[in-house]
Amino acid sequence: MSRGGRTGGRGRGAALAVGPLVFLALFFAWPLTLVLSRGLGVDGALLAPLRDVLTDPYLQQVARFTLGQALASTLLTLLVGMPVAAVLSTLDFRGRRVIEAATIVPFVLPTVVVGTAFVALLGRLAPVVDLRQTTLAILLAHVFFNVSVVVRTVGGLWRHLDAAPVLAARTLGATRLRAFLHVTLPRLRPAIGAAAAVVFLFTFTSFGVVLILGGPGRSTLEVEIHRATSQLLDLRTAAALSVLQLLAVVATLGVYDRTRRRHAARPLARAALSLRPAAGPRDRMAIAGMLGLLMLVQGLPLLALLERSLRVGDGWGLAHFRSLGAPTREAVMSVAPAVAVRNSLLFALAATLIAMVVGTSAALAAVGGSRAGRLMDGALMLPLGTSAVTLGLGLLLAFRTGAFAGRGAILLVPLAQALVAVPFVVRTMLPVLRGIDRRLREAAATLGAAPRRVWREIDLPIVSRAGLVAAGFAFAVTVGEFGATIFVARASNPTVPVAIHRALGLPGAVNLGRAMALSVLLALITGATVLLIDRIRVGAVGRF
Amino acid sequence: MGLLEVAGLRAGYGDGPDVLSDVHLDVRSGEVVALLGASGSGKSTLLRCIAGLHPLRSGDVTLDGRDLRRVSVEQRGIGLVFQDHALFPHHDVTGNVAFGPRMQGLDRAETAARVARALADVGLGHLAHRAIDELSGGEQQRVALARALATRPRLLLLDEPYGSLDRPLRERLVDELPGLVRGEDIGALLVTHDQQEALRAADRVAVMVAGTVRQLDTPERLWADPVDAEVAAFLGVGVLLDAEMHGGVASGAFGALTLPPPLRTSSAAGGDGPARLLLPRRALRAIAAPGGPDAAGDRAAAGATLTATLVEVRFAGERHRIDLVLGDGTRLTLLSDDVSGLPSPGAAVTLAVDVDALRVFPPGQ
Repeated sequence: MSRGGRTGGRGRGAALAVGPLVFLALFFAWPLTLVLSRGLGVDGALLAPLRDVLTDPYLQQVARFTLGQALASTLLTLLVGMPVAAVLSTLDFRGRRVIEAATIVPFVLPTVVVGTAFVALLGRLAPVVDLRQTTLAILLAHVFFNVSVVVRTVGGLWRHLDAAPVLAARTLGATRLRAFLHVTLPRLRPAIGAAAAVVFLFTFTSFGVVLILGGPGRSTLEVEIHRATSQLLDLRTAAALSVLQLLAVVATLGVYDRTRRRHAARPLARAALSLRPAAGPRDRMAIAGMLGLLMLVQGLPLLALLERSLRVGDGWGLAHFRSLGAPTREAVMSVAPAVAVRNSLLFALAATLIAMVVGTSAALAAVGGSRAGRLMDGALMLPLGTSAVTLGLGLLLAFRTGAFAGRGAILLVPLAQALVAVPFVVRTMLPVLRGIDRRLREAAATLGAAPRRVWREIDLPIVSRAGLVAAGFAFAVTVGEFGATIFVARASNPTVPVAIHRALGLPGAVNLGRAMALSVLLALITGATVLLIDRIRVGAVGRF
Repeated sequence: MGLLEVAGLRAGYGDGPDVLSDVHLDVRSGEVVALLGASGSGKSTLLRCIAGLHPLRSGDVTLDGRDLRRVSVEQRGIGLVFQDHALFPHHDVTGNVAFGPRMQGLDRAETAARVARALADVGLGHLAHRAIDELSGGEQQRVALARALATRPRLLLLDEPYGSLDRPLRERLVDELPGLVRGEDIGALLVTHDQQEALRAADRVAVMVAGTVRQLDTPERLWADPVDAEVAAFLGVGVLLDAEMHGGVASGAFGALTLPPPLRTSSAAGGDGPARLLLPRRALRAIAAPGGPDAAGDRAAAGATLTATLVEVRFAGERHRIDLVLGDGTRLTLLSDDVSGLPSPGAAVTLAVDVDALRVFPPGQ
């Protein structure tokens, strides 16, 4: 009966936890330990590498810039995101859902694509105002990325807020503005805090965007780790910087977790959507303003990217796309960009497969309630909090020699990408698995379904939809992964983001055009994947 | 012999104390038994034990004479209607109702016939292909009932199935239940904490207090003869007073009442000494002020009387509600058609007492 079933479930949960834990130990914990021990100077003078890093004037400036740009980016993102969230979560109008779905696309676009899009935009703007290699360019790119974090997080809470308190405030004499400031805003505070923490985290560890858009004096810790590793071959400094970065990330995650918990503690009227149909000139102006803002910060860079990819000399054409099949002439070790596309797709598929196997068994173990499963739940979030560059550095330190050296090195790419994708898989699957009402299984049993049949009839159909969404996310994340991949990808086997970065570094209009064309391709692949899974999610999984 | 027999059932959670202890219960074919109790009294756990969703520590559960202890949940042939329905969100109405017949291995035609019949029984034939989240609460409840009926169970268990519905709808659905059960010639056990619901639907009512069935009887007998003070208090039959028994007279701060001979010798009274006296509402009638013109005649006709203070008289729709305070401070509410002759609030009122309806319980309950 149920007692036996429960113990069986627990045993199975523990067994399912073994695979993911081994995976984590081998490809995350061990590499990270190597980074930590090097960064902390465990092998020599303890803390010496950290001291050296902290007293280096140049690196001090890097740390200050990293913090400053992250704070400014967060503030700017909130300033842009809040009005958008306000319109999308209070007014109902034609096309609202499409716009909402579209705002997620920039967030999942690979950082390299965003960097390239801004290169295109800034190049176009240069005759009027030259923002190339400025801090403002980096901030704008960060806003482009993270507006959807604010819109989704704050808007998600906003639209479920009971409208009655605002109406009560209005009857008590408050103006719209005062009602917002004194009633709505305080209730949104947990969501705003959570969104700000996430945006801060993303921008603090920003890599691709800063690598492409930043210039001298505008380097973040993340970029510096990469530079120390790949240009200076100074792994000691790279590791020490990683330790610094980890400390900052852990502190931010702590703040995020606190606000999130407070957020979760608030009861929400889930059914009560406070959307009202848009009517009157004031609403129309609000919608137009919101669309204009989105167009400015998100639409324009993408349009510039598209335009630049199609511009050939003084005319238009698909020459850049056609040229993707030929190897780069200017570079010594060159492969055709088309090879990079093939590589990216194959690596991403392999990484998705790995992430799905690891993530799904981890989620199943976590939901089983075994101790190993609970451990897993927390452990699997760690790669999410660790910067991709640190992961890449760790993998490099761990597997420079041995099984993954030489020809085996090619396996490191999907492994590194899978590490980044696993948390997404777990986060997508776990709520769905947890959300399966125990009584649904009981109902199936009382209707004559034996345990195996219950799994097939109840759990499987519900889980497989979540699995589809998780796989889509994993694919979108891995196909554009840059930070970890750039450490482990061999020159002979680049992925698209790596190839874009390389092409941007080469002289000549042809290379720039190719970078643009590759970016458009990559944007199309990720954008299409995400829009597709967003449809599945709204259609089915979202209901549970 | 009952359809369902539960004897000496004990159950609990983990290593904790018994949540259910020594439960005895039976349900006959064609009968609705209501399992009535406060929340936390173990009603739902008992239902889950019978369905096979919760393990027994000891005791017997038989259905049609078949020992269910070694029969797994999916083979018991018991239909369970869950609180909040537990409908499968990934199936439509038909998919939900067809689930049981499919599990029984019936072919398509037979399954379709079962589904059509079950949906017709609950009046939902027109919604066969609706998605679950497009149904109203009442429709969902009917789908849950149809889903349970489609397996042709011998016994139907309903766990507060109407809890989430508004009152008029709930009353209509409750009223339909007995006909459905008799029509299918099955038994039904309905868990509820609502007395009105129990009275509307049930042929017999089992009162659960603190993890056991204290009394299982027809509603009439339950109200006339509650087995102990807790059952009487839960049903709200009347007020319970602390009394001193002496030579067939129950006395206390409320006054004194001479009990009829059968009550004096009943074992529950336990002879002379302290006791709890149940003053059922239907045994009381407010007649007039003690000093009023008709009082002497009424009092002679009424036999035993008590004196109370009138707090308030209110029209409560159809009848009047009379709030009183007895001599010992106990508050009491009576319903009456006729309130003419009652004094103004604050004055004393005579209560005529039908002593045959009184009950005496041991003290301390």
